[in-house]
Amino acid sequence: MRILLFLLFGWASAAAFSFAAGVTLPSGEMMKAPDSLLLNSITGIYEEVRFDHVLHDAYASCVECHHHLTGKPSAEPGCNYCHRIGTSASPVDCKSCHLVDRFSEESLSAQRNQTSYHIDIAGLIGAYHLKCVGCHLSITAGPTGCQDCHRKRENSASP
Amino acid sequence: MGAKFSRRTLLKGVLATAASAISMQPFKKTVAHDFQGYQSNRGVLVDLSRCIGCRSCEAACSREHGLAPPDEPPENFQLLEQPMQELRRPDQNAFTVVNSYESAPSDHPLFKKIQCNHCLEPACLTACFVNAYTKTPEGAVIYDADVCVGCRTCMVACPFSIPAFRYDSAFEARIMKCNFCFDSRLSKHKPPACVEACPMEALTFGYSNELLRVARKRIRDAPGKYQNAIYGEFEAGGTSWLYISPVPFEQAGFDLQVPRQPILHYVKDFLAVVPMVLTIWPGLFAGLYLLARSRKITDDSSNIEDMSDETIER
Repeated sequence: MRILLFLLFGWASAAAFSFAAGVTLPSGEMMKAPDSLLLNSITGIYEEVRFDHVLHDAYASCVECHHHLTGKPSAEPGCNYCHRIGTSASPVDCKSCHLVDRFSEESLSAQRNQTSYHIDIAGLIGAYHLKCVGCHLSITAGPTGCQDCHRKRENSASP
Repeated sequence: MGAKFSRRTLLKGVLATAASAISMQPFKKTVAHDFQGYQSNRGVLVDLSRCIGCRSCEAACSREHGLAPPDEPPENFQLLEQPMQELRRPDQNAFTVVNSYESAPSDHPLFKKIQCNHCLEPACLTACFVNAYTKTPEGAVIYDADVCVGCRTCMVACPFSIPAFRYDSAFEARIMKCNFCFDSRLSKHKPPACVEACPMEALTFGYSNELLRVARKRIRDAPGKYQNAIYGEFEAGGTSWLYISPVPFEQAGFDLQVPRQPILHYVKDFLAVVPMVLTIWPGLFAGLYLLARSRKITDDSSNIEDMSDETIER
């Protein structure tokens, strides 16, 4: 019985966290954040990575990763000069801005756009690693080794 | 007796002829056009604050060029805890190497990848007398082993000490250096293997003039994070590979003695004289010699005539 109660409490707290992580879309509709994500846009020598969204919600506020996309002011004060309106954007996923192929013509032409402020948007690989490893190193918690997050595929060459 | 041809008149003649030769010829001072680099020059921006020393770039480079894989395979950022003790240089087995430096502000050492910087006006190219080097419009400084005579002047000329020589092969001795993956990638508008392999995107590929904008933006957007300078913007007349650093560049092992002008500028005046010396001087001095010799013969023969006259009178 005690175990059951414990499990129930655990489920309830997890549910509370996951409901806390949500986005109000411009249409007024509430979008619930996923509990976990499968990062599988790029797989080469490594397998896809399961990302525990609920766990990270406990450690960091939404804007630390999602910048200005969730309707709250960005953690970087400089961003709020332009992104101060405070409405959330409908795509909040990383790869809508951080392109999977950072060497595509689209990516390189963004760098050459003379009228754009954002000439230096990291690719998806860089965005993940800079954010994940950077934070894990600074708080000296969380995995920093390659195979702490990535499981190596069978028969794959060394990176 | 004919005209007296003394040592003094000979010297006078030589000087006068040499002076007229120099002043007569259409000798324009060779001011090299101010070459700002190709507009299509590609480069790579290296952000030292991002590098975590995983050495994926080294492994990717070895694989791309069929070289021996690095001694220690890059696994799990072990080098974060074990900084490399000695500084390495690119050699015949590795076109690029990552070195670590002690750095106070960070909790891990500072890592710096070095390779050929692909100068806009390469010293190796200007030093090579058989034109084994080519600066391509895409930005790569490439090397042709077929014409190389193995003089290794380029190794002396390079301000960054990059070209290495394959000493251990008697029949395939050649210069070994990074070629920006020109044949396999850059000529097809693809980034070099090391850039593609970098998980932290510490290496950013692009057009050189755009990369300077990107570098300045990074410095401006994060006040205090970077030194307000871009290594390679001016060094040796500008390089394709550019570096921004969170610590002063001398602490990261950069040579700040590298002049800001292309190395060519320091030898240009001398080199302009070489063709003149080789083409004009032989003719000039051979002519003078013949002139002097022919006059001497005439002098000698008139002396003989005088002497014979004297003997007849006797």
